[in-house]
Amino acid sequence: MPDPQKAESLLVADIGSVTTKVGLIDVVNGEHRFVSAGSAATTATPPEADVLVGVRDAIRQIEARVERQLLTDDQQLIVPERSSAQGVDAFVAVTSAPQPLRLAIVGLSRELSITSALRAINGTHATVAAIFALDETGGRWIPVTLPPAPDAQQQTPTTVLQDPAVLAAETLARAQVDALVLVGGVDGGATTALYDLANLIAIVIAARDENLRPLVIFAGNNAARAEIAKRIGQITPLRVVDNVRPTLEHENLAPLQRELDALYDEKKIKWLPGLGGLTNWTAAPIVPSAHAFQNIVRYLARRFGLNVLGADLGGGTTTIVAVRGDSIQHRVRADLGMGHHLENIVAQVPAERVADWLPIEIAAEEAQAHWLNQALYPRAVPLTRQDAYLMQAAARAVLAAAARDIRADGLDLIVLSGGAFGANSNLGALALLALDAIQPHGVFSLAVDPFGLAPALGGIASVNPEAAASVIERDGLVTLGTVIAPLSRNREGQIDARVQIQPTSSGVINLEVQHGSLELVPLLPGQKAAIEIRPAGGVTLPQAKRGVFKAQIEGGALGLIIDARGRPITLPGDPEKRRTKIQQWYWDVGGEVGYA
Amino acid sequence: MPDPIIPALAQTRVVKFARVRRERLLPTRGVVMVTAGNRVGALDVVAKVTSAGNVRPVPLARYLRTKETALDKYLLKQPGEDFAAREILASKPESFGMLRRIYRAPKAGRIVAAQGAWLALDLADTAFELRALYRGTVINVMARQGVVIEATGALVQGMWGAGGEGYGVIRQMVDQPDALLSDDRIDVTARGTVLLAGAGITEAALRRAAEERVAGLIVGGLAPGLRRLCAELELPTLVTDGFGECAMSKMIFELLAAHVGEETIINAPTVPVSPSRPEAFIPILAGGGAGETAVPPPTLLAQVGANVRVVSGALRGQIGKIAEIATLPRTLESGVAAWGAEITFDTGARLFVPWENLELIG
Repeated sequence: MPDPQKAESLLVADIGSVTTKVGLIDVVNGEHRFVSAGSAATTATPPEADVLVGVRDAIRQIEARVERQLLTDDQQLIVPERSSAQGVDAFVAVTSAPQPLRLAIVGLSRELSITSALRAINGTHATVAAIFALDETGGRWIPVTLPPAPDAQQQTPTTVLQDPAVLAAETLARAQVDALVLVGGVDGGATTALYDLANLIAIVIAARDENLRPLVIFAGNNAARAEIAKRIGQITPLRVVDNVRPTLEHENLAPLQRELDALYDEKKIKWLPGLGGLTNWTAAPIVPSAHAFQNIVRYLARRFGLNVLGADLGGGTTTIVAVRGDSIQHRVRADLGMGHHLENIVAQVPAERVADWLPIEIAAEEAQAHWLNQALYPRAVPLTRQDAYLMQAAARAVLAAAARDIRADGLDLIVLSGGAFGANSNLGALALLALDAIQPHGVFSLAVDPFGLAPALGGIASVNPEAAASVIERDGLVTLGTVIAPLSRNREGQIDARVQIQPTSSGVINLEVQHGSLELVPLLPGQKAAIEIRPAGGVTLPQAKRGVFKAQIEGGALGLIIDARGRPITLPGDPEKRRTKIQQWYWDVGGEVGYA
Repeated sequence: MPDPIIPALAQTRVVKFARVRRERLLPTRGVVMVTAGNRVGALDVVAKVTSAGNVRPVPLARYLRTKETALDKYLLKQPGEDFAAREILASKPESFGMLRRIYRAPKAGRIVAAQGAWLALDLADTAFELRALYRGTVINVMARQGVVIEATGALVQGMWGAGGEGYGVIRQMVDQPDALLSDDRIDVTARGTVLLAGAGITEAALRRAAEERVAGLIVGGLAPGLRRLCAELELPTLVTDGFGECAMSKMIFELLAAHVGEETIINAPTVPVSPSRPEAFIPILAGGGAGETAVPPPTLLAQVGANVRVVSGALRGQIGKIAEIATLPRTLESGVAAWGAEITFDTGARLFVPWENLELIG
C-alpha cells in the first residue's frame, strides 16, 4: 500500500452516523486541489449493516461526475493510482458513526475532580450515564418511595430511608456502561475515601457476569494507584492515567482524553460493521471525526495566527472547537445532532419556546412532530419553505446547546461545517443561524465548509499535512464575509455605531447603525475594503482603540454583516412582532428563500 | 450523460406472508430452556435468568462496624449460596459475645459477590423469563444467551415503537386508516387484544387502553407528547407512519385489517437507539393461496415500478410507484436542489420526490 504522505491523489471519507461524504483530491497545476465530492446514506445498520456500501455509493457519484474509474468491477478501491488515471494513491477515513462510549463517573468532589473529569469527557465521543460524588451524600440516609408489591393488601407506596452509598451502587449497577471513570484527590493527598469508592466500584463490577464487566479508568490521586489496582485490577481491566486534578488549582485533562479516545477506537470504531473491508483500502488509522475536525481548526489558528471557533453540526454528533493561542476548548456532544438526536431537542425545548426562532406561525405540536419525523429519516431534505425554517430552527437549538459554555468573544474566524451547512444551503440563512445560535461579538470572519468535508481533511492532516493545508486554504472553505457585532446597552433605534467603508474599487459608504438592526453590505469575494467603526456611547467593540476600530477587511459570498442586535439577542415577547422581526432578519441577510 | 445514481434507500417491510428469523436474547446470561428444532408458541418460555441484573450492593463492613479484612470470618453465607428472606447472612459478636451485630437478607436470593467491604446480593424476586413471542421453530440456540426462532406469517415494520412486547388477538377499532381512536370506543372487551387504530389516538384513549390492559396498540401517527406516556404505561405501541396526526398507510391498514381476530405480536422495545425496527407479526402456518410456501421477504430494489412511501413533508405516508427516475436534480420550493424520481400515487397524481424523502416499502 502506498505511503499516504507521498500520495498525489487521495480519497477522503467522513462516515457520519447519517451521511457518508467522500471527496477526491488530486494534484492540479502542482498543488493539491479538491476535485469532486459525493455523499450517500451511512449504511452501518441493517439491512446493509456494512459501512462500505455507503462509501461505495458516494464514490460512484464521484466516478460519474469526473468520469474517472475509482472502483474495480468487484467494487474494490483501485489503489495506488494507475497510469491511466484510474484509482487513487491513498484513502483516508474518519468516522462519527459508532455510538459514543457510555461512561459513569465516580469521584470524591463534584466541584473539583468530577468537574475536571466532565471537562475531559466533553472533548471525547462519550456520554455520561451516571455520576456519583461522595461529597454530595453527606452521609445522610435518603428517603425513597417504594411502589407497593403487586400482591400487597394495601396498594399504597411506602417510604423508607436508604443508604446513599447503596443507592449509588445500585445506580451504577443498573447503568449499562462501557467504562467507569474513578477520580478524586490531589496527587499525594489523602487516600482513604478513594479506597472506599474503589470498594464500591469493585462490588458493582464483581456482581456482573465476567464477560460483561466494564473496565475502569483511574485518573485520581497518584499515591492511591497501587491500592486501587489491588482492589479493582483483579476483577476487571484497570487503566491508570495521570490525575485530572493533580492540584486544587490545576487540571490535566489530556491523559484521560487520550485514554478515552483509545477506548473509543477499541470498543466502538473497530466494531463498526464493514470496517474490515475499509481498512483493506487504507494504511492510515480511522480516526474519530471530532478529533479530525479539531486538527483543522487548530491548523487554521496556527497557520494564520487567529483565534478560531469551529462548529461541526453533524447528524449524530455536534463538535465545537475554540482555539485561542495555546488554549483549546473542545466540546463533543454525542447527544446532539441533526439526525436521531433531534428527539433530544424536542425534549429540551419547552413547547412554548419551540416557535421562538420561526418567522412563520406554527403550532408547537406540529413543529415537534416535524422534528421527530426528521429524527426517524434524518436524510430527508426540506421540501417547502416551512420545512426549511423548521430545520433551521432545530439547527439553531442544537448549535446553541452545544456552544453554551464556549466563549464567544475575541474571535477572528468562525468556521461552520456539517450537513446543515452543506452545499445546498442558503448562505444568508446559514450565517443568521450561526449568529443567532453562537451569538459571538466583536469583529470576525465567517466561513462555511460547503462539502462538509472539513473533518475528513483533518483526517489527512495527520498523514499528508501538505495536501490538507493546500485543500483547506484553496477549496475547503467559502468565506461568507466579515461580521461586526458590538455589545451594546442602547435601546432599539438608538445609534450604536458610525461605520465608514471604503472598498478599493468603489466609493465610500457611510452607515449609521441603529441598535437592533442587521445590515448586509455587499462586498464581493476577494474585494478588499478599509473600514472605520466609531462605536457610540454604551457600545463596546473590544478591538476598538481610543474609540475607533480601523481595519482592512475582505469580502465574501455575503459581504459585510453588521449585527447590531446586541448580546444576548432579545426577541419580542409578542408572537406576531417576534415573527415579523425574525422575518426581517432573514430578509436583511438575504436568507428569505428558506433553507436554500 | 451518465445514468443517474440511485442512492441506497431506507426500507420498511410490509409482507403478507414470509419466513422470518428473529433473535430472542436474555438481558444477561441465564439458562436456555429449549433446544434446536423445538416448536414454540408465543408465550412459551425459551430462556430465563434468576435475576435480571437487579443487584443490591451492601456495605457490610460499615454495617457490622468492622474492617474489610475481618469481614470474611463473620460471613455465614459465601458467594454463590442461596438465602431465604430474613436469613442472617453475617454475624459479628460484640460485648464479649454477649451480643451479636447481624445483617439479615431483605429478601430471598443469592450472594453473587463479596468484595472488599461490600457484599452483592442478587434478589430472587427479579427473575426474568424470556418468551418466544414468535410462534415457530427454534433453529439455533446461543448457550446462556437466547435463541433464534424461525416463523412464518405477516410482517409489518413500524417507524417507532415503545412499551415492550405484546401478544393478543388483533381488533379493528376504526373503520378507516385516517380515523382517530377516542376513549369511548375502548371498553372491557378490549382487554388482552391488540388494537388497530388509524391516524392517531387521544391521550384519554391511550390511558384507557392501559387501564383495560390491552395487549398492544398499532397506530398510524402519534402526538409527540404521547411518546413518553406509551413507555410509562408500558403499553406496547407500534407507530407505522410517524409523529403527528397521519393516516395509517392504506397498504398497512388493509393487511392488518385482513387478520382481525388472529393472534398478533408487537415487538416494540423502549430503547433510544435500536439496530432493529419495531414490528408487528401475525403468525400464519400456511399462505393464503393453496400450496404457498413461505420464503424470506424478497429484496427491495429502487427501480421503476417499485413501491415507495414518502417519509417527509405534506405527502408523508403516501404510497406510490416509481414512474421515472429524474436525470437531473430539481430545485424544490425550499430552494434545495435534489435528485429524485417521479412518483405516481393512487390518486393519479404524479409528483417529483427527492430520493432522501422516499423509502422502499413492501
